Amino acid sequence: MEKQERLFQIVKDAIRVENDGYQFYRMAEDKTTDPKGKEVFASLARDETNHMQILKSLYQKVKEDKQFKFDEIKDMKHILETTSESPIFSEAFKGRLDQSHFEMSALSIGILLEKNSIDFYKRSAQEAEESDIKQLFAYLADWEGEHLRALVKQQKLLQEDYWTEARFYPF
Amino acid sequence: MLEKPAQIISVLKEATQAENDGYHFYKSAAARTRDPKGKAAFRSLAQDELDHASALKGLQHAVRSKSKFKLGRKRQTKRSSHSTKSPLFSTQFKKRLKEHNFELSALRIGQMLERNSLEFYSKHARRSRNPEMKSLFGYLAEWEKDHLRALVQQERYLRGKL
Repeated sequence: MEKQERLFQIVKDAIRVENDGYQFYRMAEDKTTDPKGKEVFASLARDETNHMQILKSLYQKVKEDKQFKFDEIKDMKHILETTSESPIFSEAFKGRLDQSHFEMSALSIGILLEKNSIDFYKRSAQEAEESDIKQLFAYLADWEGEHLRALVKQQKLLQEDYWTEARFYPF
Repeated sequence: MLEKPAQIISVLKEATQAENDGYHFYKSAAARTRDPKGKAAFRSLAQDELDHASALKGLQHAVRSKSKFKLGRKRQTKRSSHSTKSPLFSTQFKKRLKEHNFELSALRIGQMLERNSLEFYSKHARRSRNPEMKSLFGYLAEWEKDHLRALVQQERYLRGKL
């Protein structure tokens, strides 16, 4: 496969990976009843849309034989607030764990999706030859890493209590 | 040396959580898709994950109470990934398909969950010395493989590769 064709394939796959995340977080936003959870899932979905836009612009630039400049997009990162003890759900959420089966599964699935994206971008960064494109994939891996940290932190905060509370739901 | 009951319970707990994740995902996907066949297929996948969780709970109970574990019979699912090109969605669905829609993502997320479960069950079936866990995990790995096959086949069909 020619270099450019291979790059197109990577970008197409990346857009699919981002779309999977977008679709999943939109579903989670619709389903959760926690107000903070709704906002954070919406924000995660927006991030995935932004990633798709960046990737589409990369695709277009390569197609038109123009140079993709990492400097033009490097300040787009939206920082997800991860310093609070409960970065995804409200403080009150912990008191409703026995009714929060979907949300606990949403955390596990979100973690798997983010891990997959990070692996994909790290591999793509290694494979890319142009420095600006390498930087872009490393930047996206880093951005997904922030999502992952927030999801893991939230899961750790709730997991033990959830297992005690739910007693191996659904039984 | 046989694993300690606490070790077995810990593995079973992790497996149960993964089955619950699959259950919630497929249940939500059934509610979200507009394709009637897709709705039924996702509901059926959700029910399978509940059955798996039930079997895991049964083994957990047997380990705690030091009793014998008996594996129930596999529920016959009507899905067959071999007899139809479009095992999960209606054939009309392909005509309405757009590149970035929920259903294609649901198929890919489902594949990720099934692969994850398949690896987990295969690894523990290989490593465990507990015959009941070995046998249950081998059985569940096969079942998840059926799901994975159907999801892969459906994605390939929708993307025009079949």
